[in-house]
Amino acid sequence: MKRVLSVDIGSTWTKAALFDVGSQTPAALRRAAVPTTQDDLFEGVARVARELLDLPAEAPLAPALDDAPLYACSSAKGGLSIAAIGIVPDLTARVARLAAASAGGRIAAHHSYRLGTREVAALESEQPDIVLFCGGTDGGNESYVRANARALSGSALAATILYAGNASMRDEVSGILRGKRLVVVANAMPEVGALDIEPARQAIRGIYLESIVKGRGLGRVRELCAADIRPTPLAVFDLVGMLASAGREWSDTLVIDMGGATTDIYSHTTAFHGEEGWVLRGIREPALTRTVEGDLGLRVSARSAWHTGEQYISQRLGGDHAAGALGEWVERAARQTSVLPASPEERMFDDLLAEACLHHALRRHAGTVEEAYTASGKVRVQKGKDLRGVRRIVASGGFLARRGMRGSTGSASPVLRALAMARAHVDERTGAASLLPEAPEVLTDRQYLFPLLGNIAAAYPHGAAEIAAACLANAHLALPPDSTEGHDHA
Amino acid sequence: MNRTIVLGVAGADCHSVGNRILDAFFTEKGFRVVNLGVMVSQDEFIDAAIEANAAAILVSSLYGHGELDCAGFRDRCVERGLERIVLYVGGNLVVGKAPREEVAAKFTAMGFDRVFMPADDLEEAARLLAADIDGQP
Repeated sequence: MKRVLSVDIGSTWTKAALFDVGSQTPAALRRAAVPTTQDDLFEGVARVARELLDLPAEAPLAPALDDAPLYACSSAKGGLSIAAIGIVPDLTARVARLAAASAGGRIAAHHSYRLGTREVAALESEQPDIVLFCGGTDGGNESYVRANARALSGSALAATILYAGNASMRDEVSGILRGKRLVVVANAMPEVGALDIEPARQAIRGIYLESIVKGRGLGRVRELCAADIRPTPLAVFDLVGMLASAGREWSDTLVIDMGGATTDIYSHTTAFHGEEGWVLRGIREPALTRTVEGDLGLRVSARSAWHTGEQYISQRLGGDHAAGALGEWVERAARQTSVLPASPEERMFDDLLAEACLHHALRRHAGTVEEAYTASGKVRVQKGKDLRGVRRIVASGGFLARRGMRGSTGSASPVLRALAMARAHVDERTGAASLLPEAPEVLTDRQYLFPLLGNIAAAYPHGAAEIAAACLANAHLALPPDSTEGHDHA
Repeated sequence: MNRTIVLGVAGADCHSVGNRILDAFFTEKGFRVVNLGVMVSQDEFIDAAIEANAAAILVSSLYGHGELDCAGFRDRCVERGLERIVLYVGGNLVVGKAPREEVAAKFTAMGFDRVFMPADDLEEAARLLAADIDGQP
């Protein structure tokens, strides 16, 4: 038996699990969760680690971790917030968002074209950890890049600026931004439509370790860990990338993590198949991507989720006019983020809001296809990522862990219901439909093990993938009774 | 001098052979070609031109509906900040046989700097393109 300890420091709960990765059948042995200790994140980690290792309080941890190495990820204190800057919304501005999300960031803001005083003021009030500054192909646009470098230079931003734009502008940008903390990497879009987001992703990881981990009381946790601490979404991202190694049935997987503040979608599938009669327009996305929707969440973001999902919800409610009561629920959920639905009506509202979040997050993650008739026959024009090949959807996060398989209003899973509505949606203007999974199997990450397994995915890829596959299929480890709601809604 | 050009076939048109020939030809003539391939919308031409800082956009249209696909092209460039970009269009621009002058007049009125027919000389086009780009302020 080879035991490893994995901890996920959330904004409300510090969750942990003890895994066995050495046996023939790797397994999750025990789970625990304690409230996150906001003043010193180390305290909560130590408490949960002692609990899982059966150590008395105050016992030194380091010796016990010799035969159960510790891995940790964190989304505490707002996680990793990134502002994504690019030029054209469908090109470098989109690439910047994709790179930031795929590095585990929360998109604190995103801007295209020229940063004006208003945009700079918005960035200053947001104070992101990192500004991912893209724009221009190599040897391409200079004017917007120059203007935006000047705007950032004159700002009161404390963030590290990560320049991943036009390579020909590197020297000039470095000169303009010499007063700022600046990191320069290869262009995330060296040619129109061609992506190279890996250097930016790696750099974001480095910046996270150097400036963010240290700044948030994670230094002592890091000293105990066997590997670097990562932002929680990056842990999940890595696990999604590893899942395929657990068997062929895991080769095309989509993972949804819906929380109180955001709805995140991860997918690992070929973005464009190049079938006969299909044409891809715009950027070609990598097989493994993450999108994060800051306006779609069940608690902190309940108001914006309701606003975005208004049409979806009214369609689902039909002639049933519960909108007033729904509004009250939304207000309560937004103000009191730990609230859980108590009555059947509140459960229905929570479900409807969740469905709306899922519906829009899925549509934004997926690419679209529209038909065009040409002299040589019908052609399908694809934009974005094709998810039709996805065979499995894993529902994770507090709400989906509770209700992923069955909604309050019937037997259908909220995921499948939202998916069906999203698949039926056709853009009125262009006739474009979303390229969504066609008949996926929905599995629930009931124990919220994904981030915990993501922590160990790099060191034990096979073990992590095996445990993920096994836990989702059936097995159920009960949480201690005092923390049955040990899922973050933030 | 800036020698970056954006190339593509406009509208619901899948003819890609000519597009590849133009790509190879202009590349050989020393241009940096951003080739968007077939079925390119006006906004995609303009998006690419902005990111790549292109000096010219060369629109091909071969299926006779060029007039529809190219309407408002210059206006859209102006709206999106590309006031001075060189705009060329070429191919089978209209259905049936129409006098060259008539077709040219139509597309020049839309704001295209030059209009080419299928039999036109590519060498001459490359020479004109270089001169037109260099003539831009």
